[in-house]
Amino acid sequence: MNNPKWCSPTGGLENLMKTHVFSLLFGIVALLGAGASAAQQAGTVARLNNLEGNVLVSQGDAMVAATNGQRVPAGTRVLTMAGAKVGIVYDSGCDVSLKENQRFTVRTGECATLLTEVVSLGPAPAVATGVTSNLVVGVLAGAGFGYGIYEVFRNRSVSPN
Amino acid sequence: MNDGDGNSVVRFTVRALPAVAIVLALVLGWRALVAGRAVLVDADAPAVRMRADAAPLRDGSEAAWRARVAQNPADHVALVVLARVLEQQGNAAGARAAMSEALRLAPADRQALIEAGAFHLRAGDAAQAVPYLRQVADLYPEARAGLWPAFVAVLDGGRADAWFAGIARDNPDWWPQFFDHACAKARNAAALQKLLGVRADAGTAGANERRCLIDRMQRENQWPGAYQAWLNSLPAGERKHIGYVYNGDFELPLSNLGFDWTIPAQEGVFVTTRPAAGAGGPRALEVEVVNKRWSLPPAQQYLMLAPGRYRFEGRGRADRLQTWLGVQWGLYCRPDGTRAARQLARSGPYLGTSGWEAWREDFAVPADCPVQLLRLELANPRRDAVTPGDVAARLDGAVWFDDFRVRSLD
Repeated sequence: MNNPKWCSPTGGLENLMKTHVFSLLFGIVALLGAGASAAQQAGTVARLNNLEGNVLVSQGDAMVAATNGQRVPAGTRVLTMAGAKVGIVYDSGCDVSLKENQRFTVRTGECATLLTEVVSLGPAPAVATGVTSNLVVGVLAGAGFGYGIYEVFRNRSVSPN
Repeated sequence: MNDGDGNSVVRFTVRALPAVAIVLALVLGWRALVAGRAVLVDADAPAVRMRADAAPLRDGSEAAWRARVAQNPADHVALVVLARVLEQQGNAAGARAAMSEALRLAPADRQALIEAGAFHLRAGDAAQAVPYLRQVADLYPEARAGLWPAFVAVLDGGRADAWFAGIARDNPDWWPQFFDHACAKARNAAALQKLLGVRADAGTAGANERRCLIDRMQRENQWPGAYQAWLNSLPAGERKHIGYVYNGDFELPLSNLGFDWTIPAQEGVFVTTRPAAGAGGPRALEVEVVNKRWSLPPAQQYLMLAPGRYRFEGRGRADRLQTWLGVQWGLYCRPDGTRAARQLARSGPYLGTSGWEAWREDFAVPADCPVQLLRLELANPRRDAVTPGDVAARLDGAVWFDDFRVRSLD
C-alpha cells in the first residue's frame, strides 16, 4: 500500500519537530532582525527614498554613493549630482525633496524651516531673453549675411536682370 | 640742338596728336553717357529716397528676383535673396517658403545655411536656426570661428538647450574649439555647466573643457557651483566615493584641475605619484626639489568642508631633504580679498631623512570658511606659529606623502 507521506506512522512526529525547529529559528531571526533594526534606527532621523541617479551622503572621510532606503543621522550632508533626485523622509513625517544639483544637511527642526534649507548648487533652468536674440541676429546679420553674400556672389552675376 | 633733332620732335608730335584726340573723344563720350544715366536716375530719386526710408531694399527688387527665379527655378541664390527681400517686406510666410526652396535645392550650400539660420533667429526661433548653423560648422571648417559668437549668444539665451546637449553628446570634432570660445565668452555659466555634465555622462568631457569652466567659476568666486561642476564631470567610476581630501591616497593620476591636486609647473621641482616602499597603497606622492630656492607650493588642493569638527591625517617621509626649515602641510581658510588665510591645521615638519611618520590633528571649520586650501609649504621655525615659513630657503632632496584624510568628528 502506498501511503502518502503525511500519513506515515512517523511522519507526524517529524513534522512536529520540523515545525518547532522552524518556529524557533524564525523567532531567533525575528529577534535578531528587530535588534538590528533597532540598532539601525538608533541615531538616525530620516530615510532616503525615491533615489535616482548619483546621490552622495557624507560618511566619515568622504561623500559616498547613497542607496535607496538608507537611513541617515542628523548632520549628514546629502548632495545630488546632475540628473539625480532623492527624497529625505523624516521619521517625524517631514518630506524634503532634492532635485538634481542640490544639497541638504539633515538636521531636526520644523518641517517648514527644513524645506527652506535646500541649497541649489548647479545650473538653474535657463531663462530665455530677448536681448540675446537681438545679439544673435546682430552677429549673424553682420558677420553672416555680409560675408556670406560676398562669398556667394563674388563669382556670379548678382543682378536679377 | 641740330636740325635732325628738331624734325624728329615735330614728326612725333604730328603722329601723337590723333591718338590724344581719340582718347579725349572716348573720355568725353563716357562722361556724356554717365551724365545721361545720372539724369535718368535723378528723375526717380525722390521716390527712391522715400522708399529707402521705409526699407533698405529698392522697390521692385521682389519682382526682379522673382523674375530671376522664374527664369531659372533652380537658382538657389536668387531664392535666398528673395527670401531676404520678402522678410524685409514683412512677408514671413513667403520668406520662409523661399528659404525652404533654396535649401531644398542646395542643402549643403554654406550661404543658404547661414541665411536660413539667421532667418530663423530673426524670427525668434533659435531651435529651428541652430541645426542649419551646425551644418555650416560641420561642413565648412573655415567658417567656424565666425559662428561661435552666434552659438554663444544662443547658449546665453537658453533657447536651444536640448540642441546643445545633443551636440555635446555627438562630440563633433569642432566641439573643443567651440567650448574654448564659449568658456571664455558666454555669460551663462550655468548653461556651460549643463553641457559639461552632458559630456561627462557621455564619457566625452575632456580635461581642457573641465579645467576651463571650473577654473573660471573659481575665479568668479562661484565655489559651490565650481565644486558641483567638478563632481558632475568626474569620470563615472570616481563618483561613488569622493574623499574630503580628493585622491588623498594618490592612487589616481593627478588631474591638476578643479578640486583635485594642482601642481604648478616649477623649474627644479618634480611632483609625481609612484610606488614607494611603506606606502599605504601602490602609489604615493613624491615631491623632489633639486637645489631650488623655495618660491611657491609644489602641490595644493581646494577643499569644501562644511562647518564642523574634523581630524586631519596623513603620513610622510623625508628622503635626504636638505633644508634648515623643512616642509609641512598647512590647511587654511582660503584667503579672499578682505581677509588673509587662516590656518586650521598643519602637519609636522619634514626634513633630513626619516621613516614614514603619521600626523593627526583635530581642527574646526568655522561658518565663515566655505573654502579651504591644503598646501605643501615651508615649515615655520616657530612651531606655535599659524603661518608658513616666510624666509628665503633653498631645498634639495625629496619628500614622500600618502594616506591624506580629513574625517568628520561630528
